[in-house]
Amino acid sequence: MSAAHVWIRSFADALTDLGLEPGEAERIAAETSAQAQESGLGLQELFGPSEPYARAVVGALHAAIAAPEPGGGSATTSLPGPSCSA
Amino acid sequence: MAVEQVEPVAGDCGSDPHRQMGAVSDTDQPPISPSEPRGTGPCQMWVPCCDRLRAAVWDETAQRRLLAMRGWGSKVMLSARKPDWYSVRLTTVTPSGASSLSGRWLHGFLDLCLLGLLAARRDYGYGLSQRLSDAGFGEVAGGTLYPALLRLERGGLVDVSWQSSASGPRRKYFELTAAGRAVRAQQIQDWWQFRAGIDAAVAQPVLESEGGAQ
Repeated sequence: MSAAHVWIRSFADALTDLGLEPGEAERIAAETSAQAQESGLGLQELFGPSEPYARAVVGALHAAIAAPEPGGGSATTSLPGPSCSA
Repeated sequence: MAVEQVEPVAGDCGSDPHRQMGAVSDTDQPPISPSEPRGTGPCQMWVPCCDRLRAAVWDETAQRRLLAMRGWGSKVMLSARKPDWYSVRLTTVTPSGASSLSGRWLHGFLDLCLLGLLAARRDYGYGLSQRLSDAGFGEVAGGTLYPALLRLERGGLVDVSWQSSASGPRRKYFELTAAGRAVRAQQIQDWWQFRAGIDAAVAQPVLESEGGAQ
């Protein structure tokens, strides 16, 4: 089993442990793998350890920025959430 | 832009003739010609290779040479190929502390920066990473960038689409939505207000202390 496979399995498992549906976790894991491929870097190299990165992803899902209300009103903005690496 | 010619280094490449740098003809020797790096961004160079194995040897050689030449760390990746040449992208590893400050600053404004870049044109994750680097922020960690893009996506500020790439895997492109443009406009106002506050704070007159510096 390759290091990439181990990383992605650990990542998907961590996502489900954090409350994502298994199907959603698998979809995000597949996207994450593709993003590493497009960058030419390994998963560990690009994202850091799998479990902290899973927490960062789930945090991002919960911290989506809301668009401004139609017809005025202020936008609800959010500073970036946690990251797993500097 | 200055281009530096890096002469090949003959190393101990084992008994495999493909890995013996001395077996390479003069016409086949690089000069490796890295583009002049800017800040902590990546640089690109083409190296000749008859096979991928030798390219890998060249990767290591190039990495050592650039380390010694510039005092950088570098990560070497093979990317595109054209006949007999590989493109080797050298992504600098930020020298200790060199961009940690800009990284901390960016952390609070990454969403705004991404909205700004995507307002100019749609892009995919790695492309955005390069544009952030080109803007002077250094290398933005994937663990920071991709969750931010996911946050924008889930907030409806960007649309995503997958597109095949001629040179690699499919790419996930991000494109600003109308809601994203509205948030961008709002965040720009917020930024100017915040910046005005900082400017006002740091422009306060400095009183000379009687004791001077300790």
